[in-house]
Amino acid sequence: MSRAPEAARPPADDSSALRRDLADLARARSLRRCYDCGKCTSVCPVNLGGALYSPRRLGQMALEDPGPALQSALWDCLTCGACREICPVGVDFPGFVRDARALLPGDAIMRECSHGGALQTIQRLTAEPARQQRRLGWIPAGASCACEGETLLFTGSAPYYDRYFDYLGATTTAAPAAALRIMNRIGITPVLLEKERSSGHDLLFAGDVAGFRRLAQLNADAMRAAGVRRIVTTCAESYHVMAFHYRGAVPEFSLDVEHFATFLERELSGRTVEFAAVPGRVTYHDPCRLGRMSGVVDAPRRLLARIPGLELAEMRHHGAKALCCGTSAWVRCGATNKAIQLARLGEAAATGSEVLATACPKCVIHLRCAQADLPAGPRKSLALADITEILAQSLAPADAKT
Amino acid sequence: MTSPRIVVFSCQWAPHYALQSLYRRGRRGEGDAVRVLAACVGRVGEDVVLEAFRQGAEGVAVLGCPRELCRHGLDLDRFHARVETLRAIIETLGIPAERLLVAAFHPHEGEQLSACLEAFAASLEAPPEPAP
Repeated sequence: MSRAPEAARPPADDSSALRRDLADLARARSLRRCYDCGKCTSVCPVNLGGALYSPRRLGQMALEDPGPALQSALWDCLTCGACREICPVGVDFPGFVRDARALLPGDAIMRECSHGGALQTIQRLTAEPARQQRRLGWIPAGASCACEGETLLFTGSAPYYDRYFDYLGATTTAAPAAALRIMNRIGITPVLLEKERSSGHDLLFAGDVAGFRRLAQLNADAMRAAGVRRIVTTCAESYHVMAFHYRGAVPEFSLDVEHFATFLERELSGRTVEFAAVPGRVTYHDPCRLGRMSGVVDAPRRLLARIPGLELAEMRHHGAKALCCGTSAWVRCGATNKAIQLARLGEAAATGSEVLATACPKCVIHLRCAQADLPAGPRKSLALADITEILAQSLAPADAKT
Repeated sequence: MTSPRIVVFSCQWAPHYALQSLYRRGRRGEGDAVRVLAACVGRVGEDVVLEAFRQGAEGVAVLGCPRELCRHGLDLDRFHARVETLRAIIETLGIPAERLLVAAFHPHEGEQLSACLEAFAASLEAPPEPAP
């Protein structure tokens, strides 16, 4: 709402110490392995979105001249992992970007994050130990949940997104509500915690490592106190960060973490559960954090394939090659990001699907934001939904007893 | 006893003149509050209000101009469109919605503005309502 225009931003820190730290990090993350093949640039969504952006060239700059130009460009990276996926020598450019942002001056988050950093501020507010949130108002009437138990349904920032993005008609809590109904339907009463905090994904990827660690510790403490042994979440980013980064932040963290898609697929195996028909055609958008970065590609598709009457049509870029939704961690959103989002909506519309399904609340919000500016047409008329909502429609309709 | 920590975002037009009229009489209308002057309260977004709470404010007041005096009509509308959203966010965070005060004052309403902020500070000092 009050984001400063590009030209008004203060210059990045150009101190020699920062340059040295960035160059050291670039060497530590093996950016030297790059042999300039340029494949990363050919798949980078920022480059495809119209900006002159090359992970290969930025890697060179990081090694040779990590000054203000590089420091500014670090915020344009979506950390989507497309470059790492295609790199023949395994250069982890997104990992370098994530860690490099943590080296930049602390106020960079407020300068570079979209929405004036409000979403990061909310997460930092939830990181206060004494905070008494009121975050469970979305639980559907009649649903069964517990305060203590083995399986936690983690909802992350969903209640806040519903509030903040009300102007887009965001219904992020619809996915955990659907997951709760499905879990009840198959005889599971999950734990829902009022003391739960944001997962910390956005703080970690925006360079606030201390904030991320605070959130991880508070979440781990609340889960331990509730006797939780397994975390299930419908949020791709929460899943990724808890499965791959919590152990580094909280040494005693040893809980199993599952995305709802893999959890449900496993729970359904060996059970006879009838899926009601949901006629139509759907296409599935792989969230970067779930598909490319966590390897969960097939489970959502196999679940959708179980629904009678529902046809799954793939987009041109799918699976590990999926195009990003245009933004991550609420960092820098502008014309290039919008172009990426419109390209993705175009790919989805080209499949002839009525529904664009995904497994990440932010993908839904970003694509819905892009739709808001579109004139009537196939891209605008695509319905956006979390796969959990579609599965609940088939497995546990809202008007059915759970 | 210390005063509650309050951040006041005030438009540089009507409420600013209202406070200036008190300054000329040797009074600080905003009391101990930290005042941040804005070109228009339309420029006061969720980001800065939330950041004020994060930095320890117990209450945040956003003081604008009456609609008929507003020089930035679209901005004012944008802010008012987001007030309920902002209240819903802070309530989810466990911060009572009453800790965000939104009010408008004419330039001649210095006394009323000062009384409003005093009442706001007093409400923040009051013990919280017992849980139902």
